[in-house]
Amino acid sequence: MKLAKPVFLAALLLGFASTYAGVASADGFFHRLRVDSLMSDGITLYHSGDYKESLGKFDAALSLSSDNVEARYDRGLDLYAMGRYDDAAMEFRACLKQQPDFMPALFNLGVTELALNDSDAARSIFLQIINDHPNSVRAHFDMGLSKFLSGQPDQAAREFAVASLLHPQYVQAHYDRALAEYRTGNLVAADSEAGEALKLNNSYAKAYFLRGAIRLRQGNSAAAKGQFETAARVASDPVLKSLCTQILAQIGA
Amino acid sequence: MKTRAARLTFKIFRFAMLGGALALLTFAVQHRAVPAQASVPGALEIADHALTIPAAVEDEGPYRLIDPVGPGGLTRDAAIGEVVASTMQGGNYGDHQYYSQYGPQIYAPPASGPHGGYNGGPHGGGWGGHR
Repeated sequence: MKLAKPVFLAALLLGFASTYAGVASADGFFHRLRVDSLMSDGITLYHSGDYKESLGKFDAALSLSSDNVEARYDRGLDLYAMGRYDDAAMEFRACLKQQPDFMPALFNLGVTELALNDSDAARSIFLQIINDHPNSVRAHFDMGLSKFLSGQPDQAAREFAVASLLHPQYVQAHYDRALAEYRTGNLVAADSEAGEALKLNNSYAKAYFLRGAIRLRQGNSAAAKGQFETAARVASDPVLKSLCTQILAQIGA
Repeated sequence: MKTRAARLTFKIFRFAMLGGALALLTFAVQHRAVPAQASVPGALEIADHALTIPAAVEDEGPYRLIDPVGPGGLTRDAAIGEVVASTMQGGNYGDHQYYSQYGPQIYAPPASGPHGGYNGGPHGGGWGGHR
């Protein structure tokens, strides 16, 4: 009987503690559930193209969980889609500061640097990814874009060649390689790669357009005319159609 | 007689003057100052110019960025896999960069010649920015 009082007190204390822990744990659970729900809504809105609403969801998620690197990353995607490249780059950098090995943020930062016309920064990011993952088709392709946009078509052609070797069905890699070769003056390689792109997609208007330009450079106006006519027929881009019309008028004159 | 000769001389003089005036008028019409016309770019010049602007290059289109990560999106591992993969995941490939997004007048070669720089297209912006 003497022991009854301390045992009762201990049990009471344990009861209080477990109740408190249970409440705290439930709080944590509901907090996490709320953040996850906001994230899920934000991602759905992003995929439906409602970037502004999506951004609001990620902002709300970050206000509940400021160290949520995924919410910050997703926020960066919305900012990029809204054309706010500086802000997007800032978010991706913040992700990398928090988690330096968060590679999707590093890659997307490279793409954002390209959008900001900072080819040097973009190149350095894609080189970093290529050094760690030499088979990354995306890194090689975007390295090609960086080099092409900074006026190094010969080096761009090499990167596009690696991308198209890694993934031979990658139409854009073949087309971009053709364009880079055209810029270096290697019309034979340009023609061959444009042909590869057209084998994979026979309604690729820009590839026909490029082939038309190659034929013009080769002095074959008749063949060029055929390519521009096809480009005009299959193009869904009104400006590309208009360009073809302008060129055909000049060839016909 | 003198009057008749004078009249004839006057007639000849009048025809000569009229002829001269007509000749002058014809000359003036043929050689009148015309406003300077912009030279029409040739086919190769138009094509070359179109192939130097950013819209000529293709990107990955809707697959340009790695997708959202988190509930309802990619797992972290799947997102990393997208970066390092040796193939592009999913995808309909073809025209993604449309010339029309740079405005309707891109085919007018710039004054500096057909090989302008890449930065600052007609809309002055960068190269990216579409999904």
